[in-house]
Amino acid sequence: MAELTHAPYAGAAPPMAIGLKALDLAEWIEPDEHLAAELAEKERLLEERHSEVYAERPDSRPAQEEVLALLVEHLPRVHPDIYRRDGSRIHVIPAAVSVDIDKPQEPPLQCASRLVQEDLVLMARGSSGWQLAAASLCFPSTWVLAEKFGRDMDGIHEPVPGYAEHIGPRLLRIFDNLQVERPVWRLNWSIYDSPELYAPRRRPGPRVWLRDGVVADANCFIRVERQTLRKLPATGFILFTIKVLLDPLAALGRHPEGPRLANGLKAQLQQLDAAQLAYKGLVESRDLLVAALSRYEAASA
Amino acid sequence: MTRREEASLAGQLSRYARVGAGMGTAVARVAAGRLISSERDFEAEAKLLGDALGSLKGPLMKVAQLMATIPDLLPAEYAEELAKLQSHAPPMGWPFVRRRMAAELGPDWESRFLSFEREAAAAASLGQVHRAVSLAGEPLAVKLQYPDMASAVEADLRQLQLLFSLHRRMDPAIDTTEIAEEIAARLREELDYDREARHIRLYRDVLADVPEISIPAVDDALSTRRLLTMGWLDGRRLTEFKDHPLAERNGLARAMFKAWWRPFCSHAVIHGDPHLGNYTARLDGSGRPDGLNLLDFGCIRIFPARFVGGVVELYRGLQHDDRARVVGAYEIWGFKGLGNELIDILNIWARFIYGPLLEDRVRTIADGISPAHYGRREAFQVHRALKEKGPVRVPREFVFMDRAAIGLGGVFIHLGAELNFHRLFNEALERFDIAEVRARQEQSLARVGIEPMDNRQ
Repeated sequence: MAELTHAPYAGAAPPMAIGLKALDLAEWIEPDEHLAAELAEKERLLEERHSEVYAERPDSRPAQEEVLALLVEHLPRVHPDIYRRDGSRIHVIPAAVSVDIDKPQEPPLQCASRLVQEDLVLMARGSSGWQLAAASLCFPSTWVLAEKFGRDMDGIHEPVPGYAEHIGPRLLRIFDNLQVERPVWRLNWSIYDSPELYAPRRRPGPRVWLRDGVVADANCFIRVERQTLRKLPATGFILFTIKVLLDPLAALGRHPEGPRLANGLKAQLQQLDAAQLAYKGLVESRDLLVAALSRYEAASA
Repeated sequence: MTRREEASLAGQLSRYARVGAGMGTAVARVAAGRLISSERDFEAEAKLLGDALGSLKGPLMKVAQLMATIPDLLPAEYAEELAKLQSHAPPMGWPFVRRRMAAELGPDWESRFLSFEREAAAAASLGQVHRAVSLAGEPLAVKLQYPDMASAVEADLRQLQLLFSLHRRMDPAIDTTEIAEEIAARLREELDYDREARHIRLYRDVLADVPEISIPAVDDALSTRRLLTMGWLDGRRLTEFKDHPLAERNGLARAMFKAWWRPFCSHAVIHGDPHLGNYTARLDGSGRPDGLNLLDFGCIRIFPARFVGGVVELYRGLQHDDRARVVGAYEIWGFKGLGNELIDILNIWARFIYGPLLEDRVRTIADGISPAHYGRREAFQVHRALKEKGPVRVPREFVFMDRAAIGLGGVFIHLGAELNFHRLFNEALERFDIAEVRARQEQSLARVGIEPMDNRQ
C-alpha cells in the first residue's frame, strides 16, 4: 500500500508557501488504491448531504460540460487499466461502478466528480476577481462550501494568515496569468485528529492528543492536499482539483524515508508562526506533535 | 595639420569604414568628418548617425551610447541623437527567444514560469526584457542577452580601438587611453549578467534602510551569465511627471539624490549611468509617486574608500576657497602633474558640477538648460582648454563622476526639481569617515559575494 506518496513538508520550501510546479497533464488525475472507497464515500455524501457538497451557478454549465468532456477523454486514455469507456458510460474498473455521462438531469460537474477521487471546483473571472462558480466538494479540509460559494478569492481565503498583504495579490496574478497549455499543481499539509475525509469543520473540543497528553498513532493523521489548477481552453474558467491523502502518523515508522520525513515535518511545525499555527489549529498541540515526530526521527539514529 | 595628412587620415578612416559593418561605417564617416572639418552641421550628421545606428542592435549601439556620454568625444547634438537609440533596437522574435531561453535554462524552461510574455517589454543593455510571472505568483522582469554578444563585443572593441587610435593621432593633446579602457571594461562587464546580479544584491544591501527606494530581487534559480531574472517593479516613467505638482517632482528628485549619493557617501559605490530610463516612479495606492524604483545595475562602480575622501575634499576645498585642499583633492582623484593653469581649468568644471551642492538655498540644478545639454557645453569648453594647456591624462574616476554628475543633473532638470541640494548633500555626508566607509564597504561586499576592493591602492 502506498503511503506518504506526497510529502510537501519534507522539502526546503517554507511552510505555507504557494510552491506551484508545472503539471504534466499525464499526471493530472491521480487515482490510487483508495479509489473505490472514496468514490463510494462520494456517492454517500452526494446522496445524504447534497446541499453541503455540491453547488453551482447556472452560468457555469458550459465550463462544467468542458470539465466532463476533458475527463472523459483523459481518463480511459491515460489510465486504461482503471477507466473504460462504453458508449455513454464510463466504467471505473477497480470500483466496479459505471457512471452515465449523459444523464441530462445531473450537473456535468457532479457527474465528473463521481469518476475521480479529486474534488472539482470551478472558478470564474468576475469584475472583482475570481469567484467560486461551481463545486463538487466532498472532502473539504476545514472549509464550508456554502460559506465560500459565489465569493471571490479574497472572501474564500480570508482566514489564511498573510493573505491580504502577500498571498492575495500573488494568487490573483497566478489565476490571471494561468496559461491553458501550462497547468500547475501544488501540495499543502495539515495535521488532523480524524481519518474522516469529509471534514468541513474541526471537531468540537480540544484535539484528541490534548486529552490523552500523548500523540498516539491511532488518532493522528497527516492530511495532504494535492491541488491542480488548469485553465479551460474553451470557457476560460479555471478548474481547481483537490485530492486528499490521509496517512496515519504511524506510516512514518513504515516508510523507508520515514525519519527524514519526520524531520521535515517537525522542522515545518517549528517554523510556523503564531498566526499560521492558529490557522492550522495547532496552537496547543505543536509541542506534543514535535515530541511525537522526534520519536520517528530517533528511530533511524 | 597639412592637407596631405588630412587626406591620408581620411583614407585610413574610409578603409576602416569598409571593414566595419553598416554602423561602423556611419561612425567612421562621422568621425572622419569630425576630425577633418571644423565647420559642420552637427545636427544633420547626428540625425544621419542616429538613423544608421537605430536599425542595429547589439554592442555597437551601446558603444554609441557610451560615446555620447563622454563630453568632448562627440558634440552635444550627437549626444542628443544617440541618447534616443535605446528604445529603437529591434527585438528578438518569439522563436528566437525560445531558443535563447532553452539555451540558458534548458529545454523545459517554460515550465519554470507560470507565464512568459512573448513580446519584449523593453530593450535592455545587450538584450531585451520580457515580463513573466513566477510559479510563486511573483511578477518578473526577465532580461535575456542577444546571442553571441561576447564575440560581437570583442570585434566591436577592436574597431573602437582603431577609432580611438586615429583620434589620438589627430588630437594628441587629450589622452583617451583611459576612456577607451573604460568603454571596453564597461562593455565586457555588461555582458556578465551574473556580475549585475551581484551588484543588485549590493544595492539592496546598501539601501536596505531607505524605504523610498525599491530595488528588484534577483531570482537566482532563473538567472545565468546571460539571463537575469528579477522581480518586476511597477512604476511610471519619470518623463511622465514633467507637469505634475512641484511637491511630487521634488519628492522624486529627493529620492533620486538619495539613491545616488547615499551609496557613494556610505559605501563608495555609484551608479555610473544615472539616466532617466534607469528609474521609474513607484506609486502608492492612490497613484501618487511615493518612491523610486531602480532598474538597471549594469554600470555600478565600486571605488576605493579614499576616493570618496577625494570627492569630499574637493567639495570642502571649493566651499572654503582653499586652493591647496582643492589641489590635494585632484591628486586623490588621480590627476598627475597639474600646473596652475590646469588647476584653474579643472576648477571651472568642479564649480559647475558642485555648484548646486555649495549653495545653501533652494534652487534648480541649472536654469533654462535642457537635460540633454546640461553640462555638455561646459565639459566641451573645459576639455578643449585641457587640450590647449595639457596634455593631461584624464583619470577613469573623473570619467565616471563626470558622466554620473551630468546624468544625475539631467534627471533633476527634467523633473524641474527645486531643492536645497546643499542640505541634501550634507545630510548624506553626515558623520562621514573614510575608515567607516571602508569597513561598511568590506562588510557589504562580503555579504553579497563581491571581491573586496583593494583599499590600499
